[in-house]
Amino acid sequence: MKDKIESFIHKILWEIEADENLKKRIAQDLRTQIMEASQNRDLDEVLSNMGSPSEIAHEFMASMQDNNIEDLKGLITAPNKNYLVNRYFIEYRSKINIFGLPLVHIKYSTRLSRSWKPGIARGIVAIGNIASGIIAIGGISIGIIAIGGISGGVLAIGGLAAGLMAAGGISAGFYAVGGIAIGFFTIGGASLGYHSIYGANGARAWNFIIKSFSDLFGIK
Amino acid sequence: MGETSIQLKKGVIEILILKLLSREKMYGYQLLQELDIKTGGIFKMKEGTLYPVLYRLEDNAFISSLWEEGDKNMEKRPVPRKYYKITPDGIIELEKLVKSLRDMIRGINLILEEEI
Repeated sequence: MKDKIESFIHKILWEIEADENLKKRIAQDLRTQIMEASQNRDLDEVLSNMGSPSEIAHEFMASMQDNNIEDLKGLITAPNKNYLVNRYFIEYRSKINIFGLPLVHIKYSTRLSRSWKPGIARGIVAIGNIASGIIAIGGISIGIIAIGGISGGVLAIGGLAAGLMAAGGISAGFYAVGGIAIGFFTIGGASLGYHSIYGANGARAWNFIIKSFSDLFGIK
Repeated sequence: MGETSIQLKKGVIEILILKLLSREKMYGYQLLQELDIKTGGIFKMKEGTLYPVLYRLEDNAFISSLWEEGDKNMEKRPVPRKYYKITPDGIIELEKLVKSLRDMIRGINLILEEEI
């Protein structure tokens, strides 16, 4: 029971951008409230009635913004509920939802904050430190179309990209294009595939790999 | 609930909390229930709305908080509770707010009930 409560609170705090002291305050109050409410009711029912951790976190953020909580003063500046921004963090969640996901969700936080954690964006169009959606753009992105430092999807473009069609510095996919490309149809500086097109350096790299394996396993 | 209604409620929630706490100390969950029941569901609130109001009142020294252990004889699983209670400054603030609200309501009524 205690683990379930702590896990639930942890998920809420994960999405709250605030000073650590304020987070402790919120955790204390939520913990006692959940324990109190579950005295005479099933814990799952209590948690379900409270709403999802994401909804609770969003409500806290909006209300703290309305109330000018001291620890947040100067951090949050935007008054609109679906748009939260401070020195370290920005979140925008469109009011239009499709299949339970916001049409656009942007969640990004900078590493300047004392308690940095990546902004996780989930939406039809998702942009964030970590993004997942139909179109995902982020440091780490997963989606039908994924663009990012590390990306995975049907069409993945990024420094490190993996997917059905992948393009990137290092890419792996059925169709792969990149500095180093691995897959079935591949084009790259160094390219490894059933059908490959590679440049001069790539040819050299490929020959080096083949030679290394041959030497390793004693194949002539 | 419409946005207008939400904004109107936000204006008076502080008064209601201070008034309830002027009668007795209460913990968060108790306040949520009292507000819901005593207002016939009009002020049914979520924790995400209530606690930030309590934090602001506490930061302004209108209320203070204290921890108390649950009663082992009365409860199945005694839980420690964080009680909120009104301070002398809070009582003065409550009086000011109630007076302002009454003046405002009187002014509003003068327009709303005006015979043309």
